Amino acid sequence: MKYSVTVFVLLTWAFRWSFCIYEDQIGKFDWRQTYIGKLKFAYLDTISTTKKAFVATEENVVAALNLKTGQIVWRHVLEKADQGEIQFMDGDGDDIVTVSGRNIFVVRTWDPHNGFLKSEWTVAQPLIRRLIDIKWFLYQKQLFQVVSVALSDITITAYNISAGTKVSSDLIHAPWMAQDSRCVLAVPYLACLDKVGQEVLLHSFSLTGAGTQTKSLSAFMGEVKTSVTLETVGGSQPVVEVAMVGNSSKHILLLEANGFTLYPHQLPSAAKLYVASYEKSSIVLQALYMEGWLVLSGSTLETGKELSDLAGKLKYPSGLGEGNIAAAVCSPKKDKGKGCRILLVTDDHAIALMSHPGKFVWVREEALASIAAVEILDLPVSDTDAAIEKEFDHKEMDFGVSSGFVGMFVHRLASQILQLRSLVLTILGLGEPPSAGQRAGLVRDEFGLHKMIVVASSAGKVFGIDNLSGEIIWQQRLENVKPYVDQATGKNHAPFFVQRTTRHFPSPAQCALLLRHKVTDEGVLFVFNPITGQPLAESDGLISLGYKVKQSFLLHEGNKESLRGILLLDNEDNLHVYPESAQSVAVAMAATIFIFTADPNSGLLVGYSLALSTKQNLIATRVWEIKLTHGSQRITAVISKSSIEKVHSQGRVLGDRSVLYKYINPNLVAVLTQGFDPVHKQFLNIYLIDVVSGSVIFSISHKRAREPVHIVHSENWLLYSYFSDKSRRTEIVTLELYEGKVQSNTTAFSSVAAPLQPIVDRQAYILPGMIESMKETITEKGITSKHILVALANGAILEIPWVFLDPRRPITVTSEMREEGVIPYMPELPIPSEAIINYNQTVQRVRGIHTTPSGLESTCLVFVYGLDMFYTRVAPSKTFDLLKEDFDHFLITAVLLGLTVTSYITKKLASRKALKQAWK
Amino acid sequence: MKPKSLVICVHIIFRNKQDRSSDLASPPGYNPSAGQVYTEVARESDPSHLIIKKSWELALAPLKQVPMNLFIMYMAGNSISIFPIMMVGMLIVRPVKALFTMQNTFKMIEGSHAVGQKLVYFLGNIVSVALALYKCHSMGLLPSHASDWLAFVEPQMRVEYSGGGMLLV
Repeated sequence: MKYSVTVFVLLTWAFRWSFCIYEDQIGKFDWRQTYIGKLKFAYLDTISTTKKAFVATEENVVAALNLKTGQIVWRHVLEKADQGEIQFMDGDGDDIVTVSGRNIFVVRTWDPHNGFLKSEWTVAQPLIRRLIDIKWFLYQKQLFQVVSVALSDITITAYNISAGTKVSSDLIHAPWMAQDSRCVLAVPYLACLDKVGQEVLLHSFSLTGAGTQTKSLSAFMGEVKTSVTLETVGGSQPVVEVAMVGNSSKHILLLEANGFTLYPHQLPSAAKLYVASYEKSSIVLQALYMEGWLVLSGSTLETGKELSDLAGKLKYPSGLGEGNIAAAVCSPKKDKGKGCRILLVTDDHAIALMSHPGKFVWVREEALASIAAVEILDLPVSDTDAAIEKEFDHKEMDFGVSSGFVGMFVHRLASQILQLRSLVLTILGLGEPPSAGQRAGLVRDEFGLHKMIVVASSAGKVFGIDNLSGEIIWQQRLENVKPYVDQATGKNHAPFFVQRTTRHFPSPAQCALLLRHKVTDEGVLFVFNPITGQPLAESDGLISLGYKVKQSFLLHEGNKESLRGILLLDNEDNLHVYPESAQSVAVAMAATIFIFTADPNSGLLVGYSLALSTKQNLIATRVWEIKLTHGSQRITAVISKSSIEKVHSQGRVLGDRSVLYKYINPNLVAVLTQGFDPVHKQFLNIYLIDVVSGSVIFSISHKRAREPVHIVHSENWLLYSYFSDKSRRTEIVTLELYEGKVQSNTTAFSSVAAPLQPIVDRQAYILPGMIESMKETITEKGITSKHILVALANGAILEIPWVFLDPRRPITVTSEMREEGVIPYMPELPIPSEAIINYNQTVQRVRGIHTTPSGLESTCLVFVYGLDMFYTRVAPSKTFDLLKEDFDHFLITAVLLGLTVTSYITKKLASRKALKQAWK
Repeated sequence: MKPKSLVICVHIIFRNKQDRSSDLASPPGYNPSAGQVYTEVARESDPSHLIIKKSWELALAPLKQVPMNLFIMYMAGNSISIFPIMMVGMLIVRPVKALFTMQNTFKMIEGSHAVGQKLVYFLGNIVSVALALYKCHSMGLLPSHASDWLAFVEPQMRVEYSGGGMLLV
C-alpha cells in the first residue's frame, strides 16, 4: 500500500514536469484550425435567419458553414474510411439527411440549426449480383433508394426519413441496361443512355410516378459519331447535359413527365452549369474560365433569355484551381435586380462563396485537410543582420586584410560605420526601403521561435504558413502533379528536401518537393523558395524528370553555393543528380553513400552502394538483398531516424556509477511486416536492419497483434504500438539498444567495421486509448530529455515522458535501480489531463505530427495535422533556458537600484560621521 | 614529617658522593671526568633535547589526528547532507592549509632531527588529505567513475551515409 502511494506521488511529480499551461496562456503559444475536407455534397439554406451552407465531404464530415464568414457552425466527423463514407447528403427546411457507409448504410437526420442528431437508422445493401450502383435522393420528405441491376430492373424504395420505415417500393423493368450503362439522377427522374446500332437513345424514368420516355438523341444532335457523355446539372430542376466527346459545345435538356425539352442555346462544353430557382422560374447559371477571369452569366431555363443583371466578369484568385458550382441560390436584391450566391468547389479542394454579381465572399483552403508533407524552416535574418553578413562576405577584397585580430577589428569598425550610415539614411528617409520579408515581420527572432511551416497537400498545393499566427503567407498550385502513395498503407506522401536553409545569406533558401505526373507517373520536382513560395527553376518551378523515380536521397554536403544535391534512383537503377552542379560533390562522397529500397509486396529489401562510381557518372550497385516476408506477409512500414537528430549523451549512468554506452547507429532502420497465419491469426514482425551492411541487428515478433501500428525510431531506442487482439487493448513496446560498458570505437561509427551485437532492453506497456499517430520531441542539441507525443483517437494529444516508457523500468526494485533513477514498472500508462497538450482543442483525424527544434534548447515546436491543424510548443525538461513569463523585471531592477543608492548614501553618511567623531 | 626526612636523605647521599670523589683515590681505569663530561654534555644539551622533543610533537601532530579523523569519518556516514559535507570539508581543508603554511611550521622545527621531522609532518598531512579524499570518494564526490566524464564524450562521427525507403513506383 505504502509502496503504491510512493509510486503514485512519483508519477504525478513526473508529469508535473511536462508541459501544461495556465488558463490565461490559452492560445498564446498555440493555434488550431479546423477543416472539413474536399466537398462532395452541398446544400444552401437561405430560409432560416442565420444563413448556412450544409456540406458533406470526402473526409466523412457533415458540417454547416456560416454563409457570411465561411466559418464552421457545427461539424460532425463520421466513422473512418469506408464505414463512414458519405453516399448522399441533402436537406429540406427541417432536416439535413445523410446516408453513409458501405454494405450497411446508416441514414442520419440532423437538426440544421445546432447539428444535433435527430434520428438514425440503417438499411442493409441488397445482396444482388450484377449490381450497378445505388443512388439516393430526397423528394417530398421521403428518402428514395434507387438500386440499378444490370440486364434486369431498377428498384425504387421510398423511406420515411425520421422513422426509417419503408413507404413504397417500385420496380422498373430495364433489361437493356448494361453494366457500363451511364445513368444519372436528375430528381425526380433517372436518365440513361442506351446505344442501339447507330442510334443513341435517352431513356428517362420518372421515379416517383410510373412513366418511361425514350427518345433518340439524333433528333437534335444530328449524327452521333463519337461517344456521348451524360451529366446531371445540379439544382432545383431535373436538367441533364449531353455532349459529344471532342465537341466544343453541349446541349442541355429539361426532363419532364412526357419527354424532355431542349434548351434553345448550345453552351460551350467547358462551361460549368447550375440551375437555381428564382421566384417562380429557374435560372441556368453558367461559369466559364478565361485567363484569370471567371465569366458568369445567367438565363432563364424555359426561354433561354439572357438576364442582363446576372452577366459579369470576376477576377479569379490565382491560387485557386478551376471549380464547379456546387450550389447556388438566387434572390431579388434590395436595390432591384437579381443576385446569386454561388458555392464553388475547385479541383484543388478549396470551397469558395461568390456573391454574384460582385466578389468572392470567402475561400476555405480545404487542401490543408489532406497534408502529405510538412517541413518547418527558419526565417531569414533581418535587413540589418543581412547587411552585416554581406559586409563580412566582401571584406577580404576591400581591405586586403585576410584574418587575425587586426582584420577582425577592421571588419567590425567597417560594419559599425555602415550601420551608422544606414541609420542616418533611414532617419533622413533616403535609405533603401525594407525588404518584403522585413515589412511583413518575417524575420528570425532571437530565440528562433518564429518559423515558416511549409506544407504540401495531396491536392497539389503548397502553402507557407506563419507558425505564430497560423496565417497562410503564400500558396502555390501545382498543375498536373500528384503525391506518391504508400503502397502498403495507401497514405499520400511527398519526399521533401531542404536543399539550402536560410543560413547561407545572400543565397535564398531552397526546397524541393518530389511529386509525380498525374498521367505518366514520371517524377516531377518542384523547386521553390520556402519563405516566399517563389519557384526557383523554370517559370513554374516544376522540373519534369522524364523517368519514374524509385528512391531519392539528399546529399549531406552542399556544393559551392551550399546547395545540397538530390540523388534520384530511377526504375532502371540509374542515378541522376539534381542540380547538375552537385555532381562533383556526389562523386567525391560516392564511397560513403548507400541507398536502400523496400518492396512492400515482395518483401524484398535491396541495398545499393555508390562506391563503383566514376568521375563522369554515378553508378548504383546492388550490394545486398534480404527477403523478409513469405506468403501473405507484407512490409507495411520502413522507419529510419530523423537526419537532423543529435544525441548529446553517449551513454546511460547506472546505479553503480558505471556507464552503459548507447548503440547509436545512424544507419539503423526499423522494418515492420504484417501477415496472417491460421494459428497465430494476425501477427507482426519488427526487424532492425543496418541498411549499409544489410545485417539484421534484431528482430521481434508479436502474435495476435494488428494495426494500427505506429513506430517511433530515435537515438538508441525504438517504440511501437499495436492493437493486441488477445487482450483487446493498445500496447506499446519499447526497445533500447546498448553497446555495453565499453565503447568499441569512441570516435567514429562505421556499420561495416566490426559489426557488433547490441544489448537489447525491452518492456511493454498498456495505453488505455487508441493511437492515431506518434512522434518524439526533438531539440537543437539533444540535451533536453525526449518525450513522446501521442495523438489519440479522441482528439487529444498526449505527452508522455520517456521515463514512463523506459524499458529499464524494473519489476523488482533494487537499491541499485533506485539509484539509477528509474521508476518501478507498472504496466498501465496513465493519461493525466495535464499531459494533454491541446487541452480542450480537440484535433480530429490526426494523420501526422511534425516536430522541429527551436533556437532554444529547451523548446520543441510541434505541428499536428490531419483533418485539423494544431500548432504548439513543448518544453520536455521545462524552460530551463528562459525566464518565466511572470518574471518581475521591474521589481528586480527597482530593488537593485534601491540597494545601490542606499549603499552610496550610507557610505557618505558613514564618512561624515567618522569625521565628526574625529573632531570630538 | 615524612617529606622532610626524605629531603635530608637525598642531601646525605648527594654529599657522600662528592666527598667520596675527593677523598679517595680512584681505582685504576676509572676516569671520573668521563662521567662528569657526560653529565655536563647532558646538562648543556638539555634545551635542545626539549626542542627536539617539542619538534617531534609538532611533527607527529597530524598523524595523531588520524584515528580521530577516522572516527569522525565513520560517524559522518556516506550520505550527502550538510553536516557530513562540513566535516569532510574540515578534514580536507585543515591538512591542505597546513601543507600550505608548512614553511612557517618548519621554522619552529629545529635540531638534529629536523629533516626527519619535516618529512614526518609532511607525510602526516598527506595521510590526512588522502583520508579526506578517500572519504570524498566513498561519498561519491570525486569524478572517479566513467559516468562522471560522460558529458565530455564526443558523439561518434558518421562514416557511412544511408538513405532510402519504400519503393516509390
